[in-house]
Amino acid sequence: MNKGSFQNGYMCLAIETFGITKKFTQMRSFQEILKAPFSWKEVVALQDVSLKVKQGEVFCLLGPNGAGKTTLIKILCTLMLPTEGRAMVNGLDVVAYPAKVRKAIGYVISEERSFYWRLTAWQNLKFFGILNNIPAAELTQRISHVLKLVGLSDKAKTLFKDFSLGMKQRLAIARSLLTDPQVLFMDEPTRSLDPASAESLRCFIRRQLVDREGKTVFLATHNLKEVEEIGHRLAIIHEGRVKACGRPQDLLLERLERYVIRLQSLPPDFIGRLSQQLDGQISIKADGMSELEITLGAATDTEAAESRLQIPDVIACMVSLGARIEGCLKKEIPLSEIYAAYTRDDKIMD
Amino acid sequence: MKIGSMLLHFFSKALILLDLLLEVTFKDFKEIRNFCKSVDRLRIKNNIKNEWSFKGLSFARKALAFIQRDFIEETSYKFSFFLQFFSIFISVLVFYFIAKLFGAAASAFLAPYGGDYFSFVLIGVAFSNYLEVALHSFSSSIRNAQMTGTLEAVLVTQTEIPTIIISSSLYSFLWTSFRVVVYLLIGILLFKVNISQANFTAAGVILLLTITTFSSIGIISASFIMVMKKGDPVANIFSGLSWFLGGVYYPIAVLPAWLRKFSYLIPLTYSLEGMRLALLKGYSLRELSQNIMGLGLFSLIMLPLSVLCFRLAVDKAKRDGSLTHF
Repeated sequence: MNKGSFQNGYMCLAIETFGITKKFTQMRSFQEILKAPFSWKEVVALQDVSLKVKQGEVFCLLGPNGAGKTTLIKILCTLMLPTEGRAMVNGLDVVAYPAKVRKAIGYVISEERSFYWRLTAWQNLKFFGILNNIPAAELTQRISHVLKLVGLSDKAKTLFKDFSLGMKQRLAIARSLLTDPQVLFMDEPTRSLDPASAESLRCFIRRQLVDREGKTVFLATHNLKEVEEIGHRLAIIHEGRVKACGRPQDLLLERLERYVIRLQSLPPDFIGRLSQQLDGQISIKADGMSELEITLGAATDTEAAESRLQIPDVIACMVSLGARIEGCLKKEIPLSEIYAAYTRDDKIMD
Repeated sequence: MKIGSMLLHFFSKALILLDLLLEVTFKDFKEIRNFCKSVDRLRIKNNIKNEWSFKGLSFARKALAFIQRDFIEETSYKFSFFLQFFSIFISVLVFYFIAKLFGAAASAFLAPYGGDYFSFVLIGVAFSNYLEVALHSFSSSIRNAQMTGTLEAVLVTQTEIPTIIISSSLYSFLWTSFRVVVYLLIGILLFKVNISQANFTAAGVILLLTITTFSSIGIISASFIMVMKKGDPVANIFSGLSWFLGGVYYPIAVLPAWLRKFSYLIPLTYSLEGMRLALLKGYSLRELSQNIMGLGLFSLIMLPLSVLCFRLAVDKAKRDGSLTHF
């Protein structure tokens, strides 16, 4: 059941950012300070980031290391102030109402050192529960509930230092659920987990937290598999800028289209001539003796999808070059390629 | 007059809280848990909307959670925990033999405090512990949390930063109080320190003012740590000057007249003198008015200044994005 926040009778968005920019002052060497004592070098971590996240969805922030994912999460969790722009969580401005925002959110910190190692799981949750103003009368019940939810009921009295990495991660989720928040922020939750634990955690996030409990999950990751498995929508962030935002299939249509065209036979030097004719606007790959894989809009240009070359144009061109076409099938493009197209980075995980 | 009554009110509340905390920490955690539960039920039942009483209760509950956390962590390092008692005993022994060496040689300077160097230095060393704790516990609690990675998790809770900082250092203050009691007990039981004339009320007032003043300086020091991360100048300079000019090991009367003037700019001077006179000579509040006024003035200036410094430091760290950096 979605328990999203209402304002003026309307359900507000879970998260909304308007042109968030974050600049950091870069540390300088002694030499640089002596050369120019009163000048500062600025690094732009986020540039004009505008996003809208609906209630009850898993929104993935996909980007390589250093893209600005954690910075954005920290701004939304009130741990950092933006240099410019505005951000709202559950309809509340994160700068103007930080305390109210913290009441509405849960932040899953993947850093295992964020717990007290010499305290048990129960003692850790009790401590954070008290800091979150959970009434004493409800606290025991609440801790039992979240431990059960993440499957750690039998480990309540175990010291945190004796937990496995997967258990620590699940306890981090349990901690963020103590206040039953509507919006959950997760920063690379499956980092350092083995494939089975990561799979089980993804399943828990999507099925239990989102589908059953109606929570909104804002998840930062560089793991494409994670986005494909649990994300409703995603934003690709690169060098502090949002390059694309939407459902994976929408991004795919917006950016790339791939077709497999079956020909009776492949005329000599057909690929070279076709490519020349279409002025390099398509990517062509021969798949066997009689099949061509054509990708439209593969070049990382910023043209709108409408002004791009369409498949009928390509087929017409092929026919004019003497090809006899037997069939044409649209092929699904893996998310990794879309991601690469937006970030111009070939080093992609998974 | 109004300020005086406000101060008295504040101290009486603080004393009640301290008393409650002491009782709870070392007696029975279950009792306070039941107490909190019953107050919660009462609040829900009667729909109490008194924000201040709720805030006060909430602060006490959070403070207890911090104390409990630190107590569990400290006692989990059992060897280190018990080693501290041994170090107290050794340091008392050292000062006892130094006092024997001096004998009556320094009695002219020590006459206002009863003439016994061992009693003089024991109180000086015991209570200067508060200075060290106040100067370093706020900043070290921030630094430790930054280093261990727990700061972010604590800051994202519904607890305000001032509550986090104050509560994080409460265990250190309680532990120091316990150490001071051990110091005094060893002195009284084993080395015949005479505090039969002691005025504990006056000593309590001096202690509270001392903690308030030193804590203000500690919070300013924590502000530096929040921004600079390491190398806080406030604690280092202040600590050095206090040990030199505050009269921990020797009465300030032994200092040259021109240097003695600077002693009166150090809160520790008022604190130790007041404490010695209250415990060894049984001075009343009226007789200690000069020390109380001195410490009160420091508190009045330093406390708001420290709050302002800390607020500015947190704002800067949030702007720089360095709140959890180390």
